[in-house]
Amino acid sequence: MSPTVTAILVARAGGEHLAQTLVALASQTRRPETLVIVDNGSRGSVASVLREAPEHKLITMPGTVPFGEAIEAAARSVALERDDDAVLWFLGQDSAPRPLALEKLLGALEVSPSVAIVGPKQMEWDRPDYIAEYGLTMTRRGRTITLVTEELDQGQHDTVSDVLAVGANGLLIREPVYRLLGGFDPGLPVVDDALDLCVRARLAGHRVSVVPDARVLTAGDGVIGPNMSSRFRARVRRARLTRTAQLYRGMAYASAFTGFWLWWALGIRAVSRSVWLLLAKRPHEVGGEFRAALSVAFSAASISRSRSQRTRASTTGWWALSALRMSSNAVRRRNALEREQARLFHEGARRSLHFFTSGGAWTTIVLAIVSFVANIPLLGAHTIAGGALLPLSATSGNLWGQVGFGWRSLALAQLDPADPFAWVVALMGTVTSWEPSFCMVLLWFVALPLAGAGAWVVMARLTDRAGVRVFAGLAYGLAPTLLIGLHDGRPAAVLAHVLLPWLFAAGLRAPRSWSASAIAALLFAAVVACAPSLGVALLIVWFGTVVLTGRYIGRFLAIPIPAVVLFAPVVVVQLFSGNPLGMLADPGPVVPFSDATRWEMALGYPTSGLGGWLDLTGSIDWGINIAAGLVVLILVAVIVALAVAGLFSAHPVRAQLALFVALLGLASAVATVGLRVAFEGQTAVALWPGAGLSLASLGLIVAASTGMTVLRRFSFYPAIAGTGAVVLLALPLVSSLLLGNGQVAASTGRTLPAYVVATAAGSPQVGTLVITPQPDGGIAAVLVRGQGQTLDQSSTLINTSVGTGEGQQQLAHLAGDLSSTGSAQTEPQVRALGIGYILVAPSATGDASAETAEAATVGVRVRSSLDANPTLTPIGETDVGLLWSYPGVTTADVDSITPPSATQPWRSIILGAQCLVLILTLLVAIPTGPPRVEGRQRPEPLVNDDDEEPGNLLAGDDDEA
Amino acid sequence: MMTKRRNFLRYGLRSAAGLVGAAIAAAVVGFLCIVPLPNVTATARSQLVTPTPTDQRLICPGSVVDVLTLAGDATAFGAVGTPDYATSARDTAITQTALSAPDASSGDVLTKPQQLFAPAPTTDVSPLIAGVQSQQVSTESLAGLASVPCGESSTDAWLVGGSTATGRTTLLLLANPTEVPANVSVTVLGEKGWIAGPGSSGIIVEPASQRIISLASLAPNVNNPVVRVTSTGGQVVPTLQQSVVRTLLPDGVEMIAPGASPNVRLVIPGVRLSGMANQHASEGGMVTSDSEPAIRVGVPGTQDAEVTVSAVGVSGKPVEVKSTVAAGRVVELPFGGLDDGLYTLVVTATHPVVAAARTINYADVDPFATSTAAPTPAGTTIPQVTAKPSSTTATPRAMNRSEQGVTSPSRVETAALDEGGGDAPPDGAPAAPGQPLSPGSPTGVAPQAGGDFTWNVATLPIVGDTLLNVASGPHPTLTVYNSGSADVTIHFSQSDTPLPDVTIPADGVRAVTLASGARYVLSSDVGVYAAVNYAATGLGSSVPLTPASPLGSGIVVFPR
Repeated sequence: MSPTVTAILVARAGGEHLAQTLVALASQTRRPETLVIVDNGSRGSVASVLREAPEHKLITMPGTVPFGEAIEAAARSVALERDDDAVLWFLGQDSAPRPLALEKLLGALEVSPSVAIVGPKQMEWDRPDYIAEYGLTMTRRGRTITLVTEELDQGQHDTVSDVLAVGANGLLIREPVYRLLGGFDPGLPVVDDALDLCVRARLAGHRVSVVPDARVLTAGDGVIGPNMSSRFRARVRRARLTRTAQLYRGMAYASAFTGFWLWWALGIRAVSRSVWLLLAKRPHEVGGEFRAALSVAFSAASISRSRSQRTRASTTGWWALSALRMSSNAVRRRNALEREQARLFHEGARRSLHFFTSGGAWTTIVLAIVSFVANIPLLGAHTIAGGALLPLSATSGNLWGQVGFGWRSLALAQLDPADPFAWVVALMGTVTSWEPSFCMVLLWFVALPLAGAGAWVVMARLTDRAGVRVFAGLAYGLAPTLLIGLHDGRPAAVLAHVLLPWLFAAGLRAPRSWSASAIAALLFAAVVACAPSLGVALLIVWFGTVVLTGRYIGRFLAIPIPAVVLFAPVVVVQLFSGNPLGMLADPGPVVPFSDATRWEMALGYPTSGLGGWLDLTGSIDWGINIAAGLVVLILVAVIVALAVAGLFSAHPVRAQLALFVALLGLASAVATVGLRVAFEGQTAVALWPGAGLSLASLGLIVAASTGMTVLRRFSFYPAIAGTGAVVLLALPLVSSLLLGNGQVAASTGRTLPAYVVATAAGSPQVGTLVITPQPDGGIAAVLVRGQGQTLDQSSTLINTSVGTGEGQQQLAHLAGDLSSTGSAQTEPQVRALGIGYILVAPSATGDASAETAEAATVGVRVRSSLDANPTLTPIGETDVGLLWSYPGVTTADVDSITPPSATQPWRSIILGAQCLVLILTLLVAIPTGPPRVEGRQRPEPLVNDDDEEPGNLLAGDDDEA
Repeated sequence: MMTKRRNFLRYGLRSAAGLVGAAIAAAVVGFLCIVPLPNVTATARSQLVTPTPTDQRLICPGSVVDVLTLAGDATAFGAVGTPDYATSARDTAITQTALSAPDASSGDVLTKPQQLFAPAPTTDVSPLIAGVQSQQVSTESLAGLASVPCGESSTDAWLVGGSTATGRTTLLLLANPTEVPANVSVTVLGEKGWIAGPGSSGIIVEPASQRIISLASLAPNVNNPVVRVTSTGGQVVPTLQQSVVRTLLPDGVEMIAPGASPNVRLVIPGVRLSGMANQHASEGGMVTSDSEPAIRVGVPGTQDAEVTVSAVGVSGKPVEVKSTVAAGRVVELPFGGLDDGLYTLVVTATHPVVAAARTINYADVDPFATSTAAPTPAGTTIPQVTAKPSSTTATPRAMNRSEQGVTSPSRVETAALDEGGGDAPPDGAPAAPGQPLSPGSPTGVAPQAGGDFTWNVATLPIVGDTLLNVASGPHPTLTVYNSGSADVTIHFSQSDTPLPDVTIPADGVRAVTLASGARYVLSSDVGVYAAVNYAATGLGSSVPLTPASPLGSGIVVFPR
């Protein structure tokens, strides 16, 4: 006796899929007795297709409901006609059964009465000879495993019949069993509904099997199971639903006692699995992980209902299923296979850089030798000083104490967030934690080779030609802006120059790897922390990349996040204090420099003097400025000509983009020197344009390297010419460094007299009021606590602030009164502030002949006033100025002015947020092998020659294999 | 065919795109190099801190001191006569006390150094005090007029003047008004370079006392010394006293106040030249003796200075003297071809210099002799002192470049604020109120056969209200120099009664005749240089108007 078949077709939308499904149903060799079509919230689009449908019964759901609920509604509507032989056949709008499907399924059901559920072989809709799904099982830990997926059907799996579970698509179930089990679990609305049903059927003593001859197509529209689209949002949603279902089943299948503990562990598991997801380069699933944990945590009632439902129907225990579950060995084997497949999949994207065989090592070694020779004057130094270089705090603990939020040096009592640069300094200082200031010496020695190696790597991603790569490395390593940064003592600018090519190298790899994307994000934050003025240009580059990148936009979108989080506190403070341009200020102390003219900047020099060429030609009798200008112009013109040649090369888009970046860098440099927002005493000092020029150099060098490839096999010759030009350009600067003419020199690591430092060793809060005569006859007053100002303590908020607050007024009055008659009367006030010393520093320039008459006059005034002050003891001339002291000063009251407790709430919030973002980015950045391949595996489009695709910036030269 | 055409198209397009790209790049670079972009220059926060007014102390060095020869080689110093002190105060009262002068034997309290003390005010008004002393002596070894302003103490002072050649006596008077001992170092720069004599450092001046040191003991036989006095601990008021004996006859005495510190631009106002006609006759382009007027210029630095002295007269074009002074040397430059009259010297140099001018008051030349012969314009823009009609008689007087009489009748360079009449003899000058002259006051001594000399020191600009006291001396004349590029109007008042304003043209000089013993307040919004000159036949002295100590003025502080 043939059973009565009720086919239930759930449709959410009309259209091609539904129409084909209806046609397929009509052409079944064994037609179902009843066809119930559930219009699951299609808003009428289903009805339009139904004209071609065979005889059916239509149920319209009030809205979109889960598949299980729609089936239940339909099953209930046919309940009156049911008998023990009835079977239900579950279909979706996109499940077109092959003509023999129902017949074969019914056949399987009739052959063995113990089988309650049979499932067809699900085939892919657009590739009908590929298996989409064929039986499900679970691992020991409850993860769902699809037994077969994406395999060409060659009958290789036809021997399988008994499985743990089958998918819901085309599933045929005996109606009494369906009733007994109570249908699908409402707690599993999308994923694992059929798996759960089958598992319960198994526990109730029934069997589940697959029928190889019954084939049902599936398009993965999301009517049954999740939407199988490969779009990012669908993938994220699918991952979340899968995880929710897994957690839900885990708790529902466990006993009530175990379930309770599992419930408590949900949070911890979510956190630890998130870390794992980040390491596994699936950061987009982290949000879903937490949502899954939350939703499961709040469905306790549903879980306990599902648990009692299962126990009611159960006749056997879990042991009966163990044979059908996948063994841990098999799981391991399966994972290994997956990894292998992923590696194969990503193999095409990987290019070995050939660091040792393609000039990388040589470039680095040559630059290291140049760097060593140029820095011979600094050999043996523990600390260097000069320009904007300051020593670092004595211990790495102190360095990290400056990060985040705290009391700022130089002001009387000011509480501010720290510059992001404090992170960079703390990290660097930790590298040489036995003597943090030594890291600057190290930086001075490794800057050239590191920068050169970075540029070499960037170029190595773009071309295979060793000569061109070496040119890029040498040119960037010897760029005038880097050498001038070293010459003038600009640690932040040097760091930015060194990190910039590595940022671009990581950015070029970002479309292929989450790890590279996260590394780029960290480097972006570091570069912008070192040179905030470069942030605007880099954001434009980033924005352009996001716009031009089609497919991997997600991996680019996140790149600025760490920088944004690091800068947010400073930006907020600057915006609220009405000084928005102040956020662009260079970190570190403010040091004036000789501004370069525009054309000098266009030639790549951030300061005037053409990098020593003016002095060089000036020392020769016939040499005049024009000679220097001409020499530099000709040498730079060589590089520019090569860059322009790049526009006519086989990679014009790459050259165009590189030139665009170069112009952006130049524009950034020109714009930054116009911003005089940081103060050194009364002088408003322009921002350092070197960082913009670093970007310009990199762009120009990449464009020039592209131009060299015009000559293809003979690109060696332009590479030699370009290298010669950059080496000649660098000669005066390198020799100036070697001769010790730079501003940087070995130092004692003190910025205050040794006398003060000795006292500060005992009482670290002791204050020194530093008074500096100003060119216009005023005085600058800063308060330094402890052993002197350090690089980590410097703050752009202090350097750029313009408003006069209570603290500044107090400081001004203090300094003014001390420089005037009756300075003795200020003693109690000074002592209360813990100021033990007064230092009159030489006038700003430090060059006695450049001191103005007004500065000299006011200097005499301050000295005579302090001399006449009977409460002060003159100590005399020191290496940094004239010193006076208040004998027996105590710092007992200082803690009440700057209580550590005041920093607590904000420090915790800012540090917490920044740490969180940085750690998460770091987790993603740690390379952990190729990422899992998701969704349908299609090989990435082969890198082709099409210049119109911006992604081709990544392409190699095509003329060489 | 197709591929050829496509290749052609492709290369054509690529070239066109390349050209366009290169053009755009060139345009952008050109734009960035040429077009001015907006600049943002923030202004550093600053605060003008006006110090709380405190006690003020001015020191007058006291009587002229004579060197007494004791038994053997020992010498001692003895005060000669009593000077006339002219002091005034605004918004406060002066307490005048004497400092101890252990080095000099003296009789009267008033012969000792005088301290003018004004206590710190209780209100925010910052009071002004000023004082000047002058003394005319005529003894066997000292004769002439010596006047000097009462000055504030400092840690670093430059004195240009004096001589330790034979027949010249130069004494260094160091008064310490502070409450702590001053440790003084004296370094002398002479025509042969720096001189560090024994005992030139570690000179201790006890609080509230004055030490007297003979400069010859530190730097003997120096014709053109420049003295730098530095002190640590307490501060001192240094004064040089120079006297000349020429062939056994006294030939002048002068007290020299500290001048401006080394600078590339110095101003010496109120230089009165007289008897230049005789000079021109014997002129050799060099200063050969200290009986000739000269400009003494010293270069304390280590680089040679090219010095230009520009003499700005009350009328006419400035006359320039140029010279190169070697580093670490002092030279005296002549007044080349200048006529008699009042001048202001502007010394500019390529490297910092110190300078002062010595003028000679010949015993046989009356500096005002021809002035009465000059046409006296009437009904012109003479400022009339109308506020005190009872006692004021304006006496206009054209006294400059008088030999040539080049001044046009309509041009009046000299204003008169002379109450008692410009021609009143000095001995008839009223004594300052509250300053009783001692019976032995030599002010009544008639000018004698010997001449006198005057040291005119470089001054700093005065701005705001300045008290001006006229000591008892002949023909007090105020010279004001405006170094700016715009006219400056100076307001005068006497006993709160306004007097006519005097306008000084840009880079110009005006002379104002003052009344002996009178007290004026002069106020200017812009810094001007001023000095009061006293002169008569064989008598002369000059008193610079110095700004109040900078320590009491407001200071701009740039706090971070």
